[in-house]
Amino acid sequence: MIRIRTSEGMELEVEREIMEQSMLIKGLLEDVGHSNAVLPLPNVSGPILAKVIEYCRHHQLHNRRPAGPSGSTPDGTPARQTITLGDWDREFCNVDQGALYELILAANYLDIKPLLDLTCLTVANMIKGKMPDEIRRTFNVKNDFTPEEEEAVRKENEWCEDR
Amino acid sequence: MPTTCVSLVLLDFLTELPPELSLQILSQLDAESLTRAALVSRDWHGFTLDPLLWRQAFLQHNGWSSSSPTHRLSTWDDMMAGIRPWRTMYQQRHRLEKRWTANGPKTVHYLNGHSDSVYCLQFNDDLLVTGSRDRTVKFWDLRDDYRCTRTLAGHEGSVLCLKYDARHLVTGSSDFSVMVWDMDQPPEADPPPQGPVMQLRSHIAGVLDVAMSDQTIVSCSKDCTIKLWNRANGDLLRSIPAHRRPVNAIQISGHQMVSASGDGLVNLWDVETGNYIRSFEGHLSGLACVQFKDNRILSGSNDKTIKMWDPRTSECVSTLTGHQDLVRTLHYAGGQRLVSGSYDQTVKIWDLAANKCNLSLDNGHSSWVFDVQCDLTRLISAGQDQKILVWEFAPDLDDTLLVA
Repeated sequence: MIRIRTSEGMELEVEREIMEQSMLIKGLLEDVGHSNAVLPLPNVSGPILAKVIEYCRHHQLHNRRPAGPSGSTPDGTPARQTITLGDWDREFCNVDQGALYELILAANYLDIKPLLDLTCLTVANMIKGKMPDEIRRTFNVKNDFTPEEEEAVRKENEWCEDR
Repeated sequence: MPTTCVSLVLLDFLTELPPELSLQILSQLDAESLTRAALVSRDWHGFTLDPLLWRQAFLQHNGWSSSSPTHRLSTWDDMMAGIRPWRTMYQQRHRLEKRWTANGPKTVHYLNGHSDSVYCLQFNDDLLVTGSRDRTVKFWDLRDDYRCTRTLAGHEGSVLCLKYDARHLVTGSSDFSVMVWDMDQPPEADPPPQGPVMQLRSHIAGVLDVAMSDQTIVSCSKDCTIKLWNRANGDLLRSIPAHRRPVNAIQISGHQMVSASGDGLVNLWDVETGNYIRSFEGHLSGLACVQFKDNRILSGSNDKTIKMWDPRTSECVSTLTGHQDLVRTLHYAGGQRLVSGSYDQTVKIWDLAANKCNLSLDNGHSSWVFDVQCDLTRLISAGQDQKILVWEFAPDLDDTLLVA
């Protein structure tokens, strides 16, 4: 077991092999050797750390491939990126945007690549297939283009939709 | 009970996250989603211009980077990759693909010069070579306004087939002979270029197709045989009684070759030994053409269909229908695109993955189409109407930006 301190100063014990999915923690432990010292994680809050532990525990058990590009065509050329999320992954990321944002930052800080891929992909899926206005509503983005700029950007991107 | 309280904090992830994470999110999007994201706001627009996003989109696009299969990214190339105009490259390639699959070519050139049917052609970036019933072979400069730079006369009958590489041009004729010409002769040489370096005689009927490897020249004939010749000295190495009807087409792929015959069969052979390997049976009528590359054999038939075969199992993988008459010529350069020419006067472009015809060029030829070939940006076809047609798909695009 290792001991971790969250940004709120809360301390908790977690199985070492679970937390070693974090390259940051793995590296720290390798550097300091075995120790009872508490690892401070000043960038991660308790609720977010709980989610991270949930993720690592699940992947420890199921050891399945994380979300990411997969598949290739019969002739061996890399396929256009096709990504599918499992039910568990989708349910795991079914949190409000604030928590998702914190999870992305935590996954990046703790260096847990599969979790970072999963959370970034979740945001990407919220963008995919939407028209610009729907994207603005989804993320509460203000359209700050002048009408002239917007027209220019529209022109610049027409090539993809016109036939 | 109070109503459920849902947190409705909405967050602009792209501007709130560190830029490298924003780019990781965007890197999961396809081109269409990226171009829509560009319209969201100024910041979002800025992110979507990142060349690395477009590099990834380009390289992951099925088949786009396989145009130069020998090219491997070195570390230096990787470093340089970030500063190539990937977004423009993606855009141009996307335009080009849409023309191949839907919109058709931008311009068509007609090359005039032969005085009778044009039976065969081959081209690369610089040079087009054509053979005709007028008994001549013509060279055309594809870099210089399609100028005819050289005319070879020597055959005493129609030039039915030809193949060239850096060293030799090999032609086959209805005069029963194969001629080997030196490719190094300067154009417009003075005195005029001499005849062939070799003339190979042994067939007892017209030579319908030729192929070559480093050491060997292969010819097939209306006399139902395939003959293997020593490329260095012209010696006849072997004559194979290959089919029960005329052998209309032959192609080499690695150590193997395929032949297609009026007897309705595709046969697979070992090039070195000339030994028979297996047959591919399924067409309802005689065959006119065959292609063999990347473990795919494609054959065109008088039954109006094209069939794709697995060379390892003899299994017919798929059948393409759409032509209204004999499928006279096929060109397959790998990937998912196949082009065909038919006695129905059309040239068709097929998608082998979707098993369908994407584009039919119906208004170019006014008679039978005899030969067709394409590369990334061009399709050249020739036929009984004496026309050589150059269909340009990218005359307005920068071809240095089409390949990764």
